[in-house]
Amino acid sequence: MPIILSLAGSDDSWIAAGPEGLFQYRDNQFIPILQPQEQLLCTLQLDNMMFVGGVPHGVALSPDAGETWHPALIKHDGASILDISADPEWASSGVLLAASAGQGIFRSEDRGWRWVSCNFGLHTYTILCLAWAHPMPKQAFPRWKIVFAGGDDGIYRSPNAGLGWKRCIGDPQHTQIIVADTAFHENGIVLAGTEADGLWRSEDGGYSFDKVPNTPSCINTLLQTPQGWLLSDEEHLYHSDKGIIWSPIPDSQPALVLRQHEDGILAGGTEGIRQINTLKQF
Amino acid sequence: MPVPGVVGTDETRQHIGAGIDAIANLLSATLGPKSGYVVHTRPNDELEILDDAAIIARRILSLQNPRDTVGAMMMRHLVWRVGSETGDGGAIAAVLMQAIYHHALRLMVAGFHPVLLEKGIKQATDRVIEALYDIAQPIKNENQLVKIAQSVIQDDELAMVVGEMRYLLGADGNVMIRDYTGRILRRRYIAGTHVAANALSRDFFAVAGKREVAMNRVALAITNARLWEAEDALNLMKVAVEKGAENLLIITPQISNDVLNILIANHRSEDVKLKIFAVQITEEGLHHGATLTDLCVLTRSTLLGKMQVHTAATATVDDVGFVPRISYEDEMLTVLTGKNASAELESEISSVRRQLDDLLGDDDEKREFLVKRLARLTGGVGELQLGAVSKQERNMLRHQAERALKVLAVAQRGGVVAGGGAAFIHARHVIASCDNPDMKAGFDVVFRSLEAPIHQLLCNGGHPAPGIVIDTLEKGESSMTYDVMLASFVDSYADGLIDPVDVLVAGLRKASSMAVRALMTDAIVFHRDPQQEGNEP
Repeated sequence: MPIILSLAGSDDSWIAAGPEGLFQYRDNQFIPILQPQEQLLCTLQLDNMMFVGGVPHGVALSPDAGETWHPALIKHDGASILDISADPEWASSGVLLAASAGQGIFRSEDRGWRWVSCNFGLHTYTILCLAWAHPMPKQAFPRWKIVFAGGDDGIYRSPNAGLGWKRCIGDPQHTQIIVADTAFHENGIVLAGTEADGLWRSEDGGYSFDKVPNTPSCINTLLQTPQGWLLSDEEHLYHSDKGIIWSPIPDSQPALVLRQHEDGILAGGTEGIRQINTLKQF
Repeated sequence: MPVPGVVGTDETRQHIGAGIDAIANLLSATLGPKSGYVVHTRPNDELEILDDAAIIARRILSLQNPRDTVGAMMMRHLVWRVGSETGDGGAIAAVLMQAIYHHALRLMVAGFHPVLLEKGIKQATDRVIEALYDIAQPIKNENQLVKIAQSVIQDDELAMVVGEMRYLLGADGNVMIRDYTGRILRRRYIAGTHVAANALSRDFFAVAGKREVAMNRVALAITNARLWEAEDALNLMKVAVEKGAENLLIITPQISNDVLNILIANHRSEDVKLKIFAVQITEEGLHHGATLTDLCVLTRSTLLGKMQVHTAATATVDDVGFVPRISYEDEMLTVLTGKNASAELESEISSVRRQLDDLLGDDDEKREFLVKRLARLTGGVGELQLGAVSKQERNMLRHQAERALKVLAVAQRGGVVAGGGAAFIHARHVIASCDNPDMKAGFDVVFRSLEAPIHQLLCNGGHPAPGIVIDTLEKGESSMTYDVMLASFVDSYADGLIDPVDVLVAGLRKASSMAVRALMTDAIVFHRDPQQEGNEP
């Protein structure tokens, strides 16, 4: 079974990426998709468009679900892309962000064909993850587009879809996963998991983060479900209602990536992908 | 031209009061709740639609009755000074000065000693200012900045962009506004420190014809002396390797062929793991020295060369800076410094701020130079691309954006208080009583005058009973204000009805001072115009 680091898509069609390549995941089967990168670290699917990033460098995109691939126009000097993420309203804005190892964040306004550096406000240029908050209501003013970036020295927040960044208060080191609550604009809650610095939580819209006590030190992935929050360290899955008090799930296996599925949860890891039925588990 | 002569005391006060009233009544329309406009007809019959109190006041050169002009000019000077200092608050200052003048004048006519009255007014003003700072809160987020911007800019979209820019760039950040024809509103943020520079040899470029360089993990050697000897280059390369850098950037005014050959040979060598790039800064004079200083402070390197502790030949590892990335394109060197807080940097920032504060008069060139330096040191440079269909609209938007950026910087530095004039009501309790009977009259004058801004605002909004609103605010929390549009009491911070405290302080302080000056004016003297004929004193 391939190691899966990234899952993208929706219930109709999932794509899974890892060091062994890119796969279409359907009916528990992995169908390889040929793509140009040597080792994949991230992937993104938007309708028929696919994006991959990893080693050696840059972003490759396919406008036809993997039939043909093109290098995105991006000035990167060989930077590995660690995460690619799209504005929830990408269909109208065309905005995508890509996090790199050593060259900060790249931004596209044309659905991924051309990218420019958008590093204003960053103190570090190794960004490990990106996370968008849900869009604000259409009638809200000012209508910000909030996105978070996890760096090796802290978390950054942008109110303008990645044009400029401001460092959040709090010093989580090597933040590798960030998730904003589905009700972010009402409760201001954001959770961030780190490589060895535990779980951090914000209640003020992501301006500041505090460490959550009694959580695993290494957090590989996080997910918010209708039944609460899930996280995984190297050994188990954990569950929490509000993201404050966590309990290990007995007999659970760890995961490197979690995604909500119509029948439950998809968990990607070192043993491929498995399905977790949340209603029964918790 | 008035008939030369002297206007005596009683008449003087009447005319000064009339002049003050004329300007204050005109400017009170712009106070709110929704900004009112004043239409000005220029000499060429062109119409100007103005909402900035400072500009409206500047358009007035004299009144119909020349004896009233003195009071009008005092008011004009006050409003302009407040507007120049903080970007806003001119109308508040005008209304306050009018109130203080008339309340104090009534007491003076009734026989109160003017000197004691003046002392009381000054002391009361100082106490209220202290109380305002006590209730001020720091700016919390970009939403508050947008709300303040909306009070200056009528265009909500522009207010949002300006608020966002000030939030990300900080109070010291510099925003360059570029004008465009056609409806455009875009912004970009310029990461890193940008310096105009020339590459010292095209052999440093990897691709012939493409004058671009990008390097990661770069050691930075900055010298104000030319590199002439081989040992200069060899030592710099040695310390760069010791620093753990993969690349070396040398900034120097000039380089000899021998040194250049050594650098290029190493740059091209497959065996040596140190890529090199050398540039000269093209800025001249004061800018050149300041740029070198700023680069040293930002990159934690030491300036080498003439009249410095070390030269390139004797530089140590500590003299060379280290940055994550540099790039060069279109004769512009960009240095990305990442996190760079240091005591030296804070000291340099404080020094530049002091120079800006001490800058007198209209030295615009020096001011612009210092503002750019401050933005470079604090890492805040942005560009606002602003366009409109007509030139008048474009100029108006540009002016509003510039004003708003200034006001927001003031808010970020000093904090904010409840808006709509409520902050004065909350602060005035400190002068509600006075133990010193000599000061009491002055305290009373200021106490009563402080309700003038909110009273005017409520009248502008058509509220039938301003007194009830003021009484309720007096008893409420310091965050309470009255939303005239919603006709309800609200939490100013939750609803975004806030004012920068420094704007209110500048308005109150200057209004109080100018009102006292007007009160102490006993006579107006009109000089004979030497060129007039048949004039009688």
